[in-house]
Amino acid sequence: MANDAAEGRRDRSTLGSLVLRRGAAALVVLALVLTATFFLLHLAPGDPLQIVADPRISVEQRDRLRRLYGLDRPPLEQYLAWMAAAARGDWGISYLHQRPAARVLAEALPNTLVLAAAALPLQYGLGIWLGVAAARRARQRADHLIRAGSLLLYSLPIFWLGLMAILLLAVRWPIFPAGHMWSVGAEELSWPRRALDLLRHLALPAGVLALSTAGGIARFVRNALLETLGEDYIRAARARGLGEPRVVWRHALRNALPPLLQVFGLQLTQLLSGALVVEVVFAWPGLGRLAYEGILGRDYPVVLATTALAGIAVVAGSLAADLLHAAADPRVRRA
Amino acid sequence: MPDPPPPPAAGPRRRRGPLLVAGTGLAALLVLAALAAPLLAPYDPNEQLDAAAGRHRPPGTRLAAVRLTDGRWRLADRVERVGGGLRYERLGRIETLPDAAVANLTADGVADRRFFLLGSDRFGRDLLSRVLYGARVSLLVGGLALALAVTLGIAVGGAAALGGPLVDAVLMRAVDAMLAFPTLLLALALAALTRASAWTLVAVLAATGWMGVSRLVRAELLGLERREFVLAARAAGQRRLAIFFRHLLPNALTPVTVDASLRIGDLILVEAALSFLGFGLQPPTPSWGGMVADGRDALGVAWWVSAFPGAAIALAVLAFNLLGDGLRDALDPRLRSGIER
Repeated sequence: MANDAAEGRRDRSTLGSLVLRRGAAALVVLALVLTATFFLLHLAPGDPLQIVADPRISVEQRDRLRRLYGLDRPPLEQYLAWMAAAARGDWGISYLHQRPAARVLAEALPNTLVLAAAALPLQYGLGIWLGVAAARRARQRADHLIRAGSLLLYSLPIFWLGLMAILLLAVRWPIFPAGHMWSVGAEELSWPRRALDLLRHLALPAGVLALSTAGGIARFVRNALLETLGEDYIRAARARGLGEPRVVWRHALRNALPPLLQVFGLQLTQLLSGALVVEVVFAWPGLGRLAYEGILGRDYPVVLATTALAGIAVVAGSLAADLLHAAADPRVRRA
Repeated sequence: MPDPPPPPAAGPRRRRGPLLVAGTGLAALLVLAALAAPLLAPYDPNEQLDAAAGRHRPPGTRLAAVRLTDGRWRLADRVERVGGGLRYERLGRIETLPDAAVANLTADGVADRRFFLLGSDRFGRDLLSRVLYGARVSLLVGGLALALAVTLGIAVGGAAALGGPLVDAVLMRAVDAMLAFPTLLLALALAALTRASAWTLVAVLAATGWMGVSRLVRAELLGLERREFVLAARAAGQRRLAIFFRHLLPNALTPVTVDASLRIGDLILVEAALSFLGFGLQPPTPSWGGMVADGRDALGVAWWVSAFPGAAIALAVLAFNLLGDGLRDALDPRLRSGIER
């Protein structure tokens, strides 16, 4: 009894120190991400003023703009000023939008979240279903077919999948709109009709994003499941006479999922890369499009802010995945 | 400790999987097609005989190519000889030229023709030829980037595993930081930073692809370092570098090879995405991603301009992924597939 309590305390303390250690490492990584982005962007040839400012303005006016944006100061000073301001939540003024970058981001973020929220369940649902189906028929024809199919999904260039979806489902057979988030004049509709309008616009981008990422998940689930299906407790469950679906879905899959949880953090970068392309192809007003236009237009504040946000999301995502994994599987904590 | 019994679901492992066979065959075909592009391609990939009349012709279009004596070309749907002249239909209009104005006359028409098997793009260029030449760009850039990424990954992973705890911590945090960027965002920022050329493109791709390799190499080396044969080599007084090259690296090569074969597909995809977004090789160099982008604005009138190059990307990536998957099954059943890259 006393022994159990001591064991429990030690477990919690190792979890606590794990949180601290991983949290500190995550902060270091984040600082590195921001630093790298800042210097990357400032080393780039090209001057933001070339793109933003009217070419006819005088040299003095140009210099004044340069001072206003702080572009006349040495890069190190700009960097420190930017880091200090970013920590306070002030991410500078977007050159292209002429508004605070934080506000530009705040408008785009929900749109990307809507897209991701629609794609994620589709992606994981399809991926897990395919992976389980393949693992249950390991090394049979169905398994080979599903493996080849998920490999094909994984191999499709997402921008092309998007264009082909537009070609077939928006141009040839105009079932869904080809892009944008709302129809023109959608603000005036009643909310159920607005929701329907959003769903219609969401169908293609979310479907494309989910399809192209489901293949990787299917592959991962299949292999993780194959490994657990060889474990003794599975043999025990089968020996107890449990039906095969119950063995696979309840016993094996449950033990195969923690590693899937762990790769979620890494998956997130793929999802964000995919979202960037999908948003460009479907003219979806989200963060990816913002970042792309920012890179094209040398809009430092916006690119820095979106990169920072992506970095935070990925670092936080993998931290959360690590900790969840440790919480779900005590063996990981001691490692 | 005795090895656990092999998983019953895994079945016999000896047989070469059909996926490996399919992947190897496809990949070999693609490499051959890329190498032999000048022989296989029916026309010059940048040939624009008659941009107006050749524009956006659907797959399977056959045209007669009339060469005028001033060196210009006319692409015609139909030609026929009429007394002392050549009558042809071009852009829906019937026109007639005197014999003296045509340089490639034959008894019943003209000597040259153009057959657009996969259709033509908006400049009247033959898509099949461009797709074939595009294979060279994609495979060459992808292959070189892979070689660079693997070299870099081995160097960093080796340094991290053998350079002591401080070096390890610094390098691995840097790897974590690089991995926190969405690949495409990082590649875009890097591509925007550099002037577009094949070499900078290779460098950009390698810069986004080495982190996974270094993690794998580090893990493999740390595992190998504790093995008896390495301890024996050390006890025998061999130098660290000699141990690395003679004992550690050769034993880590199998998993690295398998991993690399799975990685080249990703690199080709990133290259294609960069080209699609306008940060790849500049026109008129035919690159698959750039060709898909070319067709984007004409999707409703000329679907083939985007469809075929994109299908070529998918086929190439699929081939290498099948190959890598099969290799892993054959060589290294321990490695997990998939997302951890």
